[in-house]
Amino acid sequence: MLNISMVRVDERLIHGQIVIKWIEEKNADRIVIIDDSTAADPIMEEILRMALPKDIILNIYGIKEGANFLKTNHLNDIVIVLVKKLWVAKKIYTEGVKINEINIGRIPSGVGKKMVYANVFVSDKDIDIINFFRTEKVPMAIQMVPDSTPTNVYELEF
Amino acid sequence: MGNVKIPCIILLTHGRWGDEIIKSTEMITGPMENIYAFSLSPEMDIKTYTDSIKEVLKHSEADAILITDLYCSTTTNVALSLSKDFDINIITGLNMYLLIQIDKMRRKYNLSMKDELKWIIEENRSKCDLLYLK
Repeated sequence: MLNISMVRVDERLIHGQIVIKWIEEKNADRIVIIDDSTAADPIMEEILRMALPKDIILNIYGIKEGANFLKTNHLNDIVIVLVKKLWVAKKIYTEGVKINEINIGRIPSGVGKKMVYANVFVSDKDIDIINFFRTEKVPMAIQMVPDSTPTNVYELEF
Repeated sequence: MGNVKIPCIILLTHGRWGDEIIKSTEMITGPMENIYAFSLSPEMDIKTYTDSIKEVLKHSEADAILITDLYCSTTTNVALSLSKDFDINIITGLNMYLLIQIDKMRRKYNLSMKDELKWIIEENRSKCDLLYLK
Protein backbone atom coordinates (compact mmCIF):
# COMPACT_ATOMS: atom_id res chain seq x y z
CA MET A 1 0.00 0.00 0.00
CA LEU A 2 1.16 3.52 -0.70
CA ASN A 3 2.37 5.56 2.26
CA ILE A 4 -0.55 7.93 2.88
CA SER A 5 0.96 10.75 4.90
CA MET A 6 -2.40 12.45 5.35
CA VAL A 7 -5.96 12.62 4.07
CA ARG A 8 -6.98 16.24 3.74
CA VAL A 9 -10.63 17.25 3.72
CA ASP A 10 -10.97 20.52 1.79
CA GLU A 11 -13.54 21.51 -0.82
CA ARG A 12 -10.87 23.27 -2.88
CA LEU A 13 -8.81 20.08 -3.47
CA ILE A 14 -5.56 21.45 -4.93
CA HIS A 15 -4.94 25.01 -3.79
CA GLY A 16 -2.10 27.27 -2.67
CA GLN A 17 -1.68 25.83 0.81
CA ILE A 18 -1.28 22.31 -0.56
CA VAL A 19 1.22 23.25 -3.24
CA ILE A 20 3.25 25.79 -1.30
CA LYS A 21 3.18 24.23 2.19
CA TRP A 22 1.83 20.72 2.66
CA ILE A 23 3.72 18.97 -0.12
CA GLU A 24 7.00 20.15 1.38
CA GLU A 25 5.90 19.48 4.97
CA LYS A 26 5.02 15.86 4.20
CA ASN A 27 7.76 15.43 1.60
CA ALA A 28 5.07 14.14 -0.72
CA ASP A 29 5.74 12.68 -4.17
CA ARG A 30 2.16 12.14 -5.19
CA ILE A 31 -1.28 13.65 -4.78
CA VAL A 32 -4.29 11.35 -5.06
CA ILE A 33 -7.67 13.03 -5.43
CA ILE A 34 -10.67 10.87 -4.59
CA ASP A 35 -13.78 12.56 -5.94
CA ASP A 36 -16.43 11.16 -8.31
CA SER A 37 -17.34 14.44 -10.01
CA THR A 38 -13.74 15.53 -10.57
CA ALA A 39 -12.83 12.10 -11.97
CA ALA A 40 -15.61 12.56 -14.55
CA ASP A 41 -14.60 16.11 -15.50
CA PRO A 42 -11.60 16.27 -17.87
CA ILE A 43 -11.50 20.08 -17.78
CA MET A 44 -11.34 20.16 -13.99
CA GLU A 45 -8.62 17.53 -14.17
CA GLU A 46 -6.62 19.70 -16.55
CA ILE A 47 -7.03 22.74 -14.26
CA LEU A 48 -5.84 20.79 -11.22
CA ARG A 49 -2.85 19.37 -13.10
CA MET A 50 -1.78 22.88 -14.09
CA ALA A 51 -1.73 23.87 -10.43
CA LEU A 52 0.87 21.27 -9.48
CA PRO A 53 4.65 21.43 -9.93
CA LYS A 54 5.76 19.08 -12.70
CA ASP A 55 7.67 16.72 -10.41
CA ILE A 56 4.57 15.81 -8.36
CA ILE A 57 2.48 12.90 -9.67
CA LEU A 58 -1.26 13.44 -9.69
CA ASN A 59 -3.94 10.74 -9.75
CA ILE A 60 -7.64 11.53 -9.85
CA TYR A 61 -10.06 8.70 -9.15
CA GLY A 62 -13.69 8.12 -8.31
CA ILE A 63 -14.30 6.59 -4.90
CA LYS A 64 -14.39 2.88 -5.80
CA GLU A 65 -11.41 3.02 -8.13
CA GLY A 66 -9.52 5.30 -5.78
CA ALA A 67 -9.91 3.06 -2.76
CA ASN A 68 -8.74 0.14 -4.85
CA PHE A 69 -5.75 2.07 -6.16
CA LEU A 70 -4.68 3.14 -2.67
CA LYS A 71 -4.97 -0.40 -1.32
CA THR A 72 -3.27 -2.28 -4.13
CA ASN A 73 -0.51 0.06 -5.23
CA HIS A 74 2.81 -0.97 -3.76
CA LEU A 75 5.04 1.95 -4.71
CA ASN A 76 7.03 3.70 -1.98
CA ASP A 77 5.69 7.15 -2.82
CA ILE A 78 4.63 9.45 -0.03
CA VAL A 79 1.06 10.43 -0.81
CA ILE A 80 -1.32 13.16 0.21
CA VAL A 81 -4.93 12.11 -0.41
CA LEU A 82 -7.39 14.93 -1.09
CA VAL A 83 -11.14 14.61 -0.62
CA LYS A 84 -13.88 17.23 -0.52
CA LYS A 85 -16.07 15.65 2.13
CA LEU A 86 -15.68 13.71 5.36
CA TRP A 87 -17.94 10.88 4.17
CA VAL A 88 -15.49 10.11 1.36
CA ALA A 89 -12.72 9.65 3.93
CA LYS A 90 -14.95 7.24 5.84
CA LYS A 91 -15.92 5.38 2.67
CA ILE A 92 -12.34 4.66 1.61
CA TYR A 93 -11.45 3.74 5.19
CA THR A 94 -14.25 1.19 5.36
CA GLU A 95 -13.10 -0.14 1.98
CA GLY A 96 -9.82 -1.03 3.66
CA VAL A 97 -7.60 1.98 3.03
CA LYS A 98 -5.29 2.60 5.96
CA ILE A 99 -5.62 6.21 7.16
CA ASN A 100 -3.10 7.40 9.73
CA GLU A 101 -4.15 11.01 9.95
CA ILE A 102 -7.04 13.16 8.81
CA ASN A 103 -6.40 16.86 8.28
CA ILE A 104 -9.29 19.26 7.86
CA GLY A 105 -8.67 22.46 5.93
CA ARG A 106 -12.06 23.79 4.97
CA ILE A 107 -15.59 22.45 5.06
CA PRO A 108 -18.06 25.03 3.74
CA SER A 109 -21.30 26.06 5.40
CA GLY A 110 -24.67 24.78 4.22
CA VAL A 111 -28.23 24.04 5.26
CA GLY A 112 -28.32 22.17 8.55
CA LYS A 113 -24.66 22.73 9.26
CA LYS A 114 -23.08 24.38 12.25
CA MET A 115 -19.75 26.09 12.59
CA VAL A 116 -17.36 24.29 14.89
CA TYR A 117 -14.24 26.21 13.96
CA ALA A 118 -13.16 28.89 11.49
CA ASN A 119 -14.10 27.69 7.98
CA VAL A 120 -15.31 24.33 9.29
CA PHE A 121 -19.07 23.65 9.22
CA VAL A 122 -20.43 20.22 10.07
CA SER A 123 -23.75 18.48 9.63
CA ASP A 124 -25.16 15.79 11.93
CA LYS A 125 -23.90 13.18 9.48
CA ASP A 126 -20.42 14.71 9.68
CA ILE A 127 -20.56 14.49 13.47
CA ASP A 128 -21.41 10.77 13.21
CA ILE A 129 -18.39 10.31 10.97
CA ILE A 130 -16.16 12.23 13.40
CA ASN A 131 -17.35 9.93 16.19
CA PHE A 132 -16.68 6.93 13.97
CA PHE A 133 -13.07 7.96 13.46
CA ARG A 134 -12.80 8.81 17.15
CA THR A 135 -13.74 5.22 17.98
CA GLU A 136 -11.29 3.97 15.39
CA LYS A 137 -8.61 6.14 17.03
CA VAL A 138 -7.67 7.89 13.79
CA PRO A 139 -6.16 11.30 14.65
CA MET A 140 -8.16 14.18 13.19
CA ALA A 141 -7.08 17.81 13.34
CA ILE A 142 -8.11 21.10 11.80
CA GLN A 143 -4.97 22.74 10.50
CA MET A 144 -4.99 25.03 7.50
CA VAL A 145 -1.20 25.19 7.06
CA PRO A 146 1.66 23.36 8.84
CA ASP A 147 2.64 26.57 10.67
CA SER A 148 -0.75 27.00 12.31
CA THR A 149 -1.52 25.25 15.60
CA PRO A 150 -3.54 22.09 14.95
CA THR A 151 -6.92 21.83 16.63
CA ASN A 152 -7.80 18.32 17.78
CA VAL A 153 -11.32 17.75 16.42
CA TYR A 154 -12.13 15.29 19.19
CA GLU A 155 -11.73 18.07 21.76
CA LEU A 156 -14.26 20.37 20.09
CA GLU A 157 -17.82 20.91 21.26
CA PHE A 158 -20.51 19.85 18.80
CA MET B 1 -13.62 58.48 -22.16
CA GLY B 2 -14.47 57.56 -25.77
CA ASN B 3 -17.34 55.43 -26.94
CA VAL B 4 -15.21 52.44 -27.82
CA LYS B 5 -15.19 50.00 -24.94
CA ILE B 6 -11.70 48.91 -24.02
CA PRO B 7 -11.34 45.29 -22.84
CA CYS B 8 -11.83 44.97 -19.12
CA ILE B 9 -9.12 43.90 -16.71
CA ILE B 10 -10.13 41.68 -13.80
CA LEU B 11 -7.72 41.05 -10.93
CA LEU B 12 -8.18 37.91 -8.81
CA THR B 13 -6.22 38.06 -5.55
CA HIS B 14 -6.07 36.57 -2.08
CA GLY B 15 -7.17 39.36 0.21
CA ARG B 16 -7.44 42.93 -0.96
CA TRP B 17 -4.20 43.56 -2.72
CA GLY B 18 -5.98 43.65 -6.05
CA ASP B 19 -7.84 46.79 -4.92
CA GLU B 20 -4.62 48.23 -3.55
CA ILE B 21 -2.49 47.55 -6.62
CA ILE B 22 -5.06 49.44 -8.71
CA LYS B 23 -4.78 52.46 -6.42
CA SER B 24 -0.99 52.28 -6.41
CA THR B 25 -0.80 51.89 -10.18
CA GLU B 26 -3.09 54.87 -10.66
CA MET B 27 -0.52 57.02 -8.86
CA ILE B 28 1.56 56.49 -11.99
CA THR B 29 -0.94 55.98 -14.81
CA GLY B 30 -3.76 58.24 -13.67
CA PRO B 31 -7.28 56.79 -13.35
CA MET B 32 -7.81 53.45 -15.08
CA GLU B 33 -11.22 52.53 -16.44
CA ASN B 34 -13.04 49.23 -16.79
CA ILE B 35 -10.88 47.46 -14.22
CA TYR B 36 -12.16 45.26 -11.40
CA ALA B 37 -10.59 43.56 -8.40
CA PHE B 38 -12.12 40.50 -6.78
CA SER B 39 -10.73 39.81 -3.33
CA LEU B 40 -10.82 36.20 -2.16
CA SER B 41 -11.16 36.17 1.62
CA PRO B 42 -10.34 33.08 3.74
CA GLU B 43 -13.97 32.22 4.47
CA MET B 44 -15.43 33.00 1.04
CA ASP B 45 -16.84 30.04 -0.83
CA ILE B 46 -15.61 29.42 -4.36
CA LYS B 47 -19.03 29.44 -6.03
CA THR B 48 -19.86 32.91 -4.65
CA TYR B 49 -16.48 34.20 -5.75
CA THR B 50 -16.85 32.71 -9.23
CA ASP B 51 -20.44 33.95 -9.66
CA SER B 52 -19.49 37.53 -8.81
CA ILE B 53 -16.82 37.49 -11.52
CA LYS B 54 -19.31 35.93 -13.99
CA GLU B 55 -21.57 38.95 -13.52
CA VAL B 56 -18.86 41.24 -14.88
CA LEU B 57 -17.95 38.85 -17.71
CA LYS B 58 -21.58 38.55 -18.83
CA HIS B 59 -21.50 42.25 -19.72
CA SER B 60 -17.93 42.61 -20.89
CA GLU B 61 -16.50 39.35 -22.05
CA ALA B 62 -14.83 40.38 -25.28
CA ASP B 63 -11.06 40.06 -24.86
CA ALA B 64 -11.40 40.38 -21.05
CA ILE B 65 -8.03 40.00 -19.34
CA LEU B 66 -7.95 38.14 -16.03
CA ILE B 67 -4.77 38.48 -13.96
CA THR B 68 -4.35 36.19 -10.95
CA ASP B 69 -1.88 36.41 -8.11
CA LEU B 70 -0.63 32.83 -7.64
CA TYR B 71 -0.33 30.04 -10.18
CA CYS B 72 -1.17 27.02 -8.05
CA SER B 73 -4.07 28.50 -6.24
CA THR B 74 -7.83 28.97 -6.03
CA THR B 75 -7.69 32.34 -7.81
CA THR B 76 -6.07 30.74 -10.86
CA ASN B 77 -8.30 27.64 -10.69
CA VAL B 78 -11.36 29.91 -10.73
CA ALA B 79 -10.05 31.86 -13.73
CA LEU B 80 -9.37 28.64 -15.64
CA SER B 81 -12.80 27.24 -14.88
CA LEU B 82 -14.39 30.50 -16.10
CA SER B 83 -12.57 30.02 -19.40
CA LYS B 84 -14.81 27.00 -20.05
CA ASP B 85 -17.76 29.34 -20.50
CA PHE B 86 -16.16 32.66 -21.46
CA ASP B 87 -13.64 33.59 -24.12
CA ILE B 88 -11.08 35.27 -21.87
CA ASN B 89 -7.33 35.77 -21.48
CA ILE B 90 -5.73 34.53 -18.27
CA ILE B 91 -2.34 35.54 -16.89
CA THR B 92 -0.89 34.51 -13.58
CA GLY B 93 1.74 36.48 -11.66
CA LEU B 94 0.19 39.88 -11.07
CA ASN B 95 2.70 42.68 -10.67
CA MET B 96 2.59 46.42 -11.17
CA TYR B 97 4.68 46.65 -14.33
CA LEU B 98 2.54 43.95 -15.95
CA LEU B 99 -0.64 45.83 -15.06
CA ILE B 100 0.72 49.10 -16.46
CA GLN B 101 1.72 47.49 -19.76
CA ILE B 102 -1.58 45.65 -20.17
CA ASP B 103 -3.58 48.79 -19.43
CA LYS B 104 -1.54 50.70 -22.03
CA MET B 105 -1.90 47.96 -24.66
CA ARG B 106 -5.66 47.47 -24.36
CA ARG B 107 -6.35 51.05 -25.43
CA LYS B 108 -4.71 50.65 -28.81
CA TYR B 109 -4.22 47.01 -29.76
CA ASN B 110 -5.38 46.04 -33.22
CA LEU B 111 -3.64 42.76 -33.72
CA SER B 112 -4.33 39.60 -31.77
CA MET B 113 -4.81 40.26 -28.06
CA LYS B 114 -3.07 36.98 -27.25
CA ASP B 115 0.02 37.93 -29.28
CA GLU B 116 0.19 41.30 -27.53
CA LEU B 117 -0.09 39.62 -24.13
CA LYS B 118 2.61 37.08 -24.95
CA TRP B 119 4.96 39.88 -25.86
CA ILE B 120 4.15 41.81 -22.67
CA ILE B 121 4.76 38.71 -20.52
CA GLU B 122 8.08 38.08 -22.25
CA GLU B 123 9.16 41.68 -21.70
CA ASN B 124 7.98 41.47 -18.10
CA ARG B 125 10.52 38.75 -17.32
CA SER B 126 13.38 41.23 -17.51
CA LYS B 127 11.53 43.54 -15.10
CA CYS B 128 11.78 41.04 -12.25
CA ASP B 129 15.50 40.88 -11.79
CA LEU B 130 18.48 41.25 -9.46
CA LEU B 131 19.80 44.79 -9.38
CA TYR B 132 23.13 46.22 -8.27
CA LEU B 133 25.21 49.31 -8.79
CA LYS B 134 28.38 48.82 -10.78
